[in-house]
Parts: sequence; C-alpha cells; structure tokens
Amino acid sequence: MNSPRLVGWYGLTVFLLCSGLSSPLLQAQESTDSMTALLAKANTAYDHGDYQQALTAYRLVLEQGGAHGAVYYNCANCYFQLQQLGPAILYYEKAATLLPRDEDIKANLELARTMTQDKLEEPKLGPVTKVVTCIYRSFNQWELFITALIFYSAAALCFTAAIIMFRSARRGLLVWIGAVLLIPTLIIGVSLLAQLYNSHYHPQAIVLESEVNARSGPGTDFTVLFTIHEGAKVYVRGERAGWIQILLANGLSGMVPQETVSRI
Amino acid sequence: MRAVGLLAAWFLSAGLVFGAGEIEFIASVDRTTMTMDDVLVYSVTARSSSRSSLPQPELPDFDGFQIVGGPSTSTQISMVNFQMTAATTTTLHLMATTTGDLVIKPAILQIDRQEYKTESLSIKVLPGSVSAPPQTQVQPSPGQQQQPDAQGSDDDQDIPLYVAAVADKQQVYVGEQIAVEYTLYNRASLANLNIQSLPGTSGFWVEDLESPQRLVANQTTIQGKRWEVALLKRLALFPNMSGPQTIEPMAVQAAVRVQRQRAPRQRRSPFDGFVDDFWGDAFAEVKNIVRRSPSIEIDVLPLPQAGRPASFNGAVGNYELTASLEKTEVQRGQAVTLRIVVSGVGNIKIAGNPQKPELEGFRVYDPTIEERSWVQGREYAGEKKLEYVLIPRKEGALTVPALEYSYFNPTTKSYQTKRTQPITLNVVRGPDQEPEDARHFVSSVDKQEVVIRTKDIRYIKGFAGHFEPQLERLSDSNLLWVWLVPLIVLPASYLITKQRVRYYADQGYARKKRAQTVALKWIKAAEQALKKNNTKDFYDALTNALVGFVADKLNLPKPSLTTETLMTLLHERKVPEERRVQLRNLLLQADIARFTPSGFDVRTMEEALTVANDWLAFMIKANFLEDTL
Repeated sequence: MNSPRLVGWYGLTVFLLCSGLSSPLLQAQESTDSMTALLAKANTAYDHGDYQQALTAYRLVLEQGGAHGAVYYNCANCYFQLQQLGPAILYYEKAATLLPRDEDIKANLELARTMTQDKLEEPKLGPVTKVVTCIYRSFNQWELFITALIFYSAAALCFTAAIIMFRSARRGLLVWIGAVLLIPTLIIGVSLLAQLYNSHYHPQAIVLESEVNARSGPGTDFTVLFTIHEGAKVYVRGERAGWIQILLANGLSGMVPQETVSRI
Repeated sequence: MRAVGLLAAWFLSAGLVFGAGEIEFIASVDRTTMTMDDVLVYSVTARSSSRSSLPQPELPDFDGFQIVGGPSTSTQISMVNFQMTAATTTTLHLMATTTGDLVIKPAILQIDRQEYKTESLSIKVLPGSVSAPPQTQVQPSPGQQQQPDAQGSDDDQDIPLYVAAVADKQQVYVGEQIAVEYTLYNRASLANLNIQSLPGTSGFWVEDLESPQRLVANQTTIQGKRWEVALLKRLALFPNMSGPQTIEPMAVQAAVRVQRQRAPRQRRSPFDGFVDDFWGDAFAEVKNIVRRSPSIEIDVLPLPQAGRPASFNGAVGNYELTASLEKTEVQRGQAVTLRIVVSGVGNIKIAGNPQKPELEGFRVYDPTIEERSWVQGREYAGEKKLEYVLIPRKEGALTVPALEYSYFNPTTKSYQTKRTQPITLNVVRGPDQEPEDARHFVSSVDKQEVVIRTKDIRYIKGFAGHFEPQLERLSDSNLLWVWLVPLIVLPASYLITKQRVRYYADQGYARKKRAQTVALKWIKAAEQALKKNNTKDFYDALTNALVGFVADKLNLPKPSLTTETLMTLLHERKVPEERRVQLRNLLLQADIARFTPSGFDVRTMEEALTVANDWLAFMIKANFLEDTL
C-alpha cells in the first residue's frame, strides 16, 4: 500500500529534474553536431601528419565547451608530435583527470615523463591516504559523484521505507540495509571531497618553458633558488602579482612567472 | 785425479779468513774461467771448533750473475779427539749474464758482534763454450735431447746424479704439443728424492702426460759406466703464443748417502736399486743436494694465414667429426637429440666448439657440452661432445645439413676440414595431433617474446558516432541537487507517518470505522436465527446490531445505553421522531420476546428484521452520528 506511493514521490522528483535538464540538452544538440564534424576533420589532419591543423581543430572543440578526455589526449598527441613536451604533458594530465583509467593516456603520459629532465618523486603516503588517493585517482569527479549518489539514494529509500512502514516487522532490517549502504556512500564521498579539495586548494601545474628559474620572491630581482625544466609537475601554492608560488614534491618552493606554468 | 783438480781449484780461488775465535769463513767457486753457458757453483763455508751452530752468512750481490739454483745449506758436525767441529756450507748456482772479468764481492758473517769477511773472487767470463765441465759427461739416448746440467766441482757436484730434460721438438706451431721428458740419471746411493719445483712454463698450456708415483729404474751404460735411468715426469706443453719461448728448469731435491772422508764408493752391483742396503752404508752420511734440469728453448711458429678455412676455430691436432641423431623418425613437436662429437689428438680444451648447425624446420635449444681428455701413447688427446635438443616443427623429411670442423694439422703443416654426411629425420604426425595446415596454432614452446624496436606515443582516439562532451566540473551538473531530494522526502514522510500513527492509536476512530461492518454482521446472525426459528437469538442479534451501531459510532460502552439514554442521544443528534419511535418499538419488542417463553411467530420477526434493516440503512446514509458533539 505504501511502496507505490514512495516510488511515485521519487519518480516525480527525478522527472522534474530531467525535464529541467532536457531543455538545455536539446539546445546543445546543435553545437555538438558541429563538434563531431570538427573532430573528424582534426583526426584526418593528424593522420596526414598535419599536427598543427589538427591541434587547432581540437582546441577549437575545447573552446566551444567540448571537454572530453579523448579530445585532450588527441591534443596532447599533437603537441608531442610537434615536440612541445610541456603542453603535451599538461594535456595528457587533463585527459587523465577526465578518463583516469585509460591505458593509452597512462602509457603516453609515462613516455612523455621519461623525457623530462627533472627527477621529482611522489611523496610517500600513509595507508588511509593511500586508499582514498587510490580511489580518487581511479575515477573522475563525475563517476565518484554518481556512484556516491546511487548508494546515498538507496540508503535514503531504505530509511524512508522504514519510516512509512511503521507497522511492518521488517523495519529493523531496512534500517540496517540503509546503514550498510551509507558506508560506501561515506568512503566515496570522502574521496570525492578530497579530490575537490585538492583540485581547489592544491592545484597542480605543468612547467611549459624549457627552463624556468624559481626565485625567492615575485620579481626578477629576487635570488634564483632553483631551476626547473619543461614538463615538470609542480603544486601551486599561491599567486601574487603575475607570479605563482610553486612547491615541488621534494619540498622545494619558489616563485615563477605566471605564464611559464599552466594549471592542470 | 779429480781430487787433485779439486784441490787445485780450491787453492786458486779460495779466500781464507781465520778469525780470532777459531772461526773459519771461506768463499769458493768451482772455476775461475767460465762461459755464458756454464753454471758456476759458489759456496760459502763457515767452520767453528767452539760452536755447535753458526748463523747464516750474508751473501753479496752477484752483479753480472743470475742465480739459477739455491741457496741450499748443509751443516756438518764432527768429533775428532773430543774436539767438536761444526761447518755450514751455503751453495748457490750462478750463470753469467755478461762477458768479461767479473768480481764476486765478499760474503759477511756476524758472530758475537764480530764481522768475518771472505775475500772477493774474480771470475773470467768468455762468450763461447770453452771450459770443459769437470764431471762425467752424460750422453743419453739419441734425439733432440738436452744434456744434464754440467755443474760445479764442489763436494755436491761430485755426486753422480743429474736431471735431464728432453723435448721431442724444438720447433712447433702455436697450440701444437711438445712432450718434455724429465729423466733422472743416477750412479749415487739415493736415499730419497722429491721434486722441489715444477718447470716454469709461462706461455704454455701444461698437461701431465705421465708422473710416476714410484721411480722405475732402468740400467744403461754411458761411456763404459752403468747409470740408473728413471723417468721423473712427462709433460705435454701447448704454446699459447708464437716467438721464442723458454721452458724453465725443474728442480729436484735428493738425499744421497756419501762415504765420509772417502772417495765415493763404487757400486758393488747394478741391482742395488736406488736405495742402498743398510750394511753397505754403515759409515755413510746423508747429503741433501738440489739438481736442476736445463732450460729448453722452443721456437714457436704462428699458425699460417694462408689456406685458413672459415670454420677454423683454433683447434690444432688431428681430429675426427661425427654427427648423429638418436632417432630416425619422430612425431612433430617431439624432442630429438643431435650429438656432434669432435675427438682426436690435440688439446681439446683450447679447441673451439663446432659451429651451431643451421637447422631449418627445427627449434634448436642451446647445447650441453661435455669435454673429456686422455693420454694416448705419448700424446694428449680429447673429445668434445655437443648435444643439441631439436624439436621438429614441420612434418616430412627434415635434414640436418652436413657439418664441418676445421683444424690445423702440424704433422702435414696444413689446415684440414672434416665433414659429416647430411642426416635425414622423418617427422610424422602424432595420433592426436592436428594436421600441419593448422599452423596458426602456435604451441607454447614456439612462442617468442615481442621485441620492442622503438618507443613512441600511442595513436589518437577516434570519435565513433555522435560526440558528447564530458562534464569537466561537477558544479556544472544539475544533478547536484538530487542530493537534496532525500533531505526533503525523509522529513516529509516522517511527518505524514506521525499523523497516521496518531489515528491508529485512537480507539474511538477505529470503532467508528468498524461500526457499519459490525452492525451488518449482527443482522446476518439475526437472519440465521430466524431461519432456525430461534426467537431469543434473533432478538439478541437484532439488539446488538442496533444498539452496537450507535455505541460504536459514538464510542460509548454498549451496556450503558438503555432505551431511554438512546432516545435522548438520538434526540440530541436530531434524528427524526419517526426513526426514534421505530427503534424504541423494536427494542421493546425484543424485551418482550426475551420474557415470552413461547416466542413470537415468524411473520412478526420478519417484519422486525425488515424494519431494522431499513433503520440501519437510513442511519448510515443520513450520517447523523458522524460528528461528535
């Protein structure tokens, strides 16, 4: 007597949300058609060895809002073929955040990294951090969100049912199932939050110029602390007057001109 | 005669020093004129009548000489007229390295802070072979033999015991065998003998051809004298490099019994052997002497460049090559062993392996190699056995091609190549095997590693069908708000349920809901009683239906409702007069029926039931009792 009513409520909510979504999606249909054509053109140009033209087309797609791991990846391949190691690594990294389990991206990123000059080791992690890091590196934000949402909705459904069916003997079981479903919700939720936190508070960047001097302050008058080379991955700690404070994995920190690095 | 010669040499060369404490310290040489080929025996003797032991003398630098033997030291202690004399003699064998007049500086002996010196000795060295050695010349069997060293005229040198070194060749090719025989020539009374040092053979690979554990003596006569001849060692030497090479001497240490203060005793019988009998040596003293074989010069020729085959691998000697398969017929994929054997005379250890055969249709594993060597007559011989495991990959007649092995034969002074016959192997299909056509099934043993030739990035990604962009930022998603749905639904469902729980907990509400159902049940019961003509049950059921309905609707206890109370309640709820009368009549009728034992007739009861039904239907429809006051 109660379950049909319950499904009805949720169904109504989802319908409302979907109808809200569908109208912008219909509008987007037209622009994605032109992107599809552009991408086909770019791929043909790549096949003919015209990497510069292919790159222009891929970047145009990205500028039109056609963000996709595969587009970033193809862009990076063009940069690699044009022997621009820094942008190549930057775009491979961008591709990897959207398609974190893609073997091609991993392989090419690894190959490109072997060509960089600087030896930067990843910091060692504790066991808990390792699990969270492992989860959030294997999934993109969207996947984490959807997975967490499914578990969360299922848990919520269980709790709602347990409330409504107050005369049923199965209420206790429903509460238990709901509680168990909350565990993956929490783990995935924490991973998602960690990813969001890191991308917001500890963004990473790639050095784009062949050699960049990191100084002790935002200006060329300051002492050069160390030199870093194209393709190196650095953490961005702050920004000041056109200068970016970077942090290396080994703990070194310095200021570099803004245009010499680009955020992933 | 020899004693006189020795005495003359003594007086000629001896420098005598008589110390105050009866110390006699003398240096002597066996000759004062020598050639570059001669060996000079230099002895220093210290003699004391008051001491039983004497320290080692300090020997001079022998400028212009090379020490080829020694130093060996012998000590003698004698008692004459209760006077003890101790003598220590140190002997060195020297060869001149330059010609001209050379001087041997004094030797020094330090005793009780006193220094004793010998005189310096002058030696004339001539380039050629001039001086005749004082000993017996030994002329062993003919051939390219070296004579035993002609050494000194000292006491030791009198002892007729020599070591001869004989090489079978003086000119060889690199890698060719030279057999060197070390023989002992002896006429002395030998107590013990051992090899002090093996010949120095740098530049040669050395193998033992014969090394007797016990010496076996043969008798031979040289210049009218009987000598005992015994083989000490036979070596096979293989030169490693071309050019003149020297086989350095071998040293032998011998313990020889000599008659004290007598001329060397003549051997009584040729059958005495190497160790004399006890009685004959009652007055003998045992002397340790060192004998060296002469060094041998060998001219080593390089292997000729001309006519060197491509398959030549460094083997020198005379070899045979055989190749065989253990089976003539196998199943495809079944292992078969190919055995290649190189055997013959020569040093197999420095000979190269036969080349790996080029086998088509086989998978070939690395071979196991076994080497064996032995002595064949006076030559060193050996065998090299290579076993390849082959796995045929095709069916039909497969061929192991002719194999070849090249070596340099020093006897013919030319390169030779041995070839085997091709061997045919019949490969058949096993009973359970797929036909050969199914060659795309590569068996696991035939799998090969994929070789990385160069590294490059992987190819770009295609976009099959329609392109859909990914969401780059989570904040762009509308679904973010779905999180809030349960946050609304959960409290809402809670509030709704709370309401429902209150209703369920209310008894009056439940009675009100059930009133109609209960009343109709009693009507049914009344109908049943009517059919059975049971007046009492009929009116009881009828009363329950009517009064119960009102009681349930108003949530009042049924027993508290008397007819009067009912009338009042219905009046209050504005039930029409006519319906109130109807109820009162019915209840009155029921009361009368209960107290009338004979009961009513069926028609009256049927009428009553119709009225009751009508009354209930009116009450339900009219809804007078729904609202509580």
